[in-house]
Amino acid sequence: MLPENDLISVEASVLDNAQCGLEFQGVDYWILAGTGVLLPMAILILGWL
Amino acid sequence: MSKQFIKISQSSLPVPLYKRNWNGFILGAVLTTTGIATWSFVVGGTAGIYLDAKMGAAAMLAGGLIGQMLTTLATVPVSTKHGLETAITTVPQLGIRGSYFGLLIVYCTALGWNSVLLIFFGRSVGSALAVLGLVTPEQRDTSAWAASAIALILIALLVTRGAKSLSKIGPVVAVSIILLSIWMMWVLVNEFGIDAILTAQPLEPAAGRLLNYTIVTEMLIAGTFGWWGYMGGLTMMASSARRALMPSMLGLGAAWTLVAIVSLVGTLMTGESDPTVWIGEIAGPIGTIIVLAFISIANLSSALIGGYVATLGVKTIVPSIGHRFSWPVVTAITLAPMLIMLLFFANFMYDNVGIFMAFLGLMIGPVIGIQIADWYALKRRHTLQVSHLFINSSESRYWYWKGFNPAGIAAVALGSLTYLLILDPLTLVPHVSFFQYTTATLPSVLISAVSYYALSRVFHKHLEPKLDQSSQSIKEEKGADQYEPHKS
Repeated sequence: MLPENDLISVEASVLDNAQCGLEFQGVDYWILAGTGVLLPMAILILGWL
Repeated sequence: MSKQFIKISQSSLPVPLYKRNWNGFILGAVLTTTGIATWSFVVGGTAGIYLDAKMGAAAMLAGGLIGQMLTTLATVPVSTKHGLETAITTVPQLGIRGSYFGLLIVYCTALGWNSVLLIFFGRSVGSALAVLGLVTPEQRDTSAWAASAIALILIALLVTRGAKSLSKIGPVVAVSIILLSIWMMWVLVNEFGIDAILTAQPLEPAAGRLLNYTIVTEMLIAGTFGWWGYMGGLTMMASSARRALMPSMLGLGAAWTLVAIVSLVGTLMTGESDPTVWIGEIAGPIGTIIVLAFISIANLSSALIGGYVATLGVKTIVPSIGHRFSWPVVTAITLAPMLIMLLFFANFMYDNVGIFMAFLGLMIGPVIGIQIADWYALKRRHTLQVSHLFINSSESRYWYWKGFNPAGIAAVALGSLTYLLILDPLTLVPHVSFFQYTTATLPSVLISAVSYYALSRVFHKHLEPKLDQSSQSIKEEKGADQYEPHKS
C-alpha cells in the first residue's frame, strides 16, 4: 500500500505575501562582477602571458 | 472578497524564510561536494589535450567563474528570495506547461550524470576489491554492477530524508575532497617537479594558441552551466542572496576546476587522464586505493544531490505524481529510471554520455539567458506572483498560450541554434572563426536574452490583457468551496 500523499490547500495570498529573503544589494553585484568578470579576465591575461 | 486556495504538495511548498537555515559554510560545502566528482577529472583530462598546465589552469578557472556568475544571476535571486527550486522558476519564462522543459533539463542532467557517477563508483569498488584480492578479476564486473545498484538504493534512502542529509554529509565530504586533492597535487609535484610540470606540452592541440585557449574556456563555461539544475534546490536553503553568493562562486565556480587542474597536471605528466591509473604508477596500490576511495565519496555525494534535486523537481512540477504520492514514493519513481539504466544500459550510457550532455548543455545556456532577462530587464523581481507558479491550469497568469510562453520557447530555440551555428558540441570544432574571440556559449546566452526581451515586449499586448483577465477571474469565481482542504 502506498504511503499517504502530503497534499494540502494553501491560500494564494499566503504564498504571495510570504516573507522574502533579501535580494542582491549594490555591493553584491560588485562582488559578482569582480569574481565573475574582472577576476576571470585577469586570470586569462596572466595565463596568456 | 472570496479567498483563493491552491492544492499543493507540502514538500513542494516554497521553503519559508524561517526554515532556510543553511549558513554560508554549509551551503558552500554542499555546493563544493556537488561540483567535485568524476567529471572534474574528465574535464581536466580533456583540457590536457589542448593546453599546457599554466594556460589550462587559467582557462579552466576563468571559464568556471564566468559560467558560475551567469548561473548565479539566473538562479540565486529568485530561489533565495522566494525559497523555490530551479524547475519551478522557469514557469514565468516558459509557461506552466513549458516548465516541463525546465524539469526535463533538471531531470536529464541528474539522470545522465548520476548514471555515469554510479557506474564509475561501481567500477571503482570493483577495482578496489580486485586490488585488495577480495574478488577475482572475473568477479570484478559483477561486483561493480552490484556496488552501483546498492549505491543507488542507499542514495534513495538518503534522499527520502530530504535536505537534512545533504547538510550533514556535505561539510565532511567537502573537507575530505579538498585534502585529498591537495595530496594528489603534492604527489605530482614531488614526483615530477614544478619545472617539468610547467614545461609539459599539451597532448594533441588544435592549430592556433588562442583557439585552444578558447576551447577550454568554452568547455568550462558550458560545463559549469550544468550546475543550473542543481542550484535552486540547494540555494533555496539560504535566507538571502548575499549568503549564497560566495558559496556559489567558490563551491561551483572554483572548487571543481581546482580538482580539474590536478587532473590536467596528471594527464600532462603521464599521458593518462584516469587518475586511478596515473596515481597507481606514482604512488602504488595504496595510492590507487586512496584515489578510488576519494572518487567514490565524491561521486556518491554528487549523485545524492542529483537524486535530491531531481526528486524535488518532479514532486513540484508534475501534479499527477507530486499530488498523489508521498516524498518517499516520488523518490522511488524518480530514481527508478536510473536503476534501470544502471542494470541494463550501463555501458551504452557510459559510452554516449558525452553526446547526451552536449545536447543538454547547449539548451541550458539559453534558459539561463532568458531567466536573467526576465528577472532584471522585464523586472519579474517586482511582479512575480508565487501562487500562480503552482496553478496548473489556464487560471494561472503564467499560462500564456496553451500553457506555453511563445517568447521563452522561441528564445531558447534561437539561443540553441546560435550555439550550433558557432560550435559543434560533440567535437568542439568551431564552424566560424570568431569563436576564438567570443566562445559559443556566451553569444548563445546573449541572443536568447535579447530575443526573449524583444519577443516578450512584442507579445505583451497579446498576452497581458488575457493575464489580467484570468487573474481577475480567479479572484471573482474561485472560492474556498472549490478547494477542499486535504488532509496532510
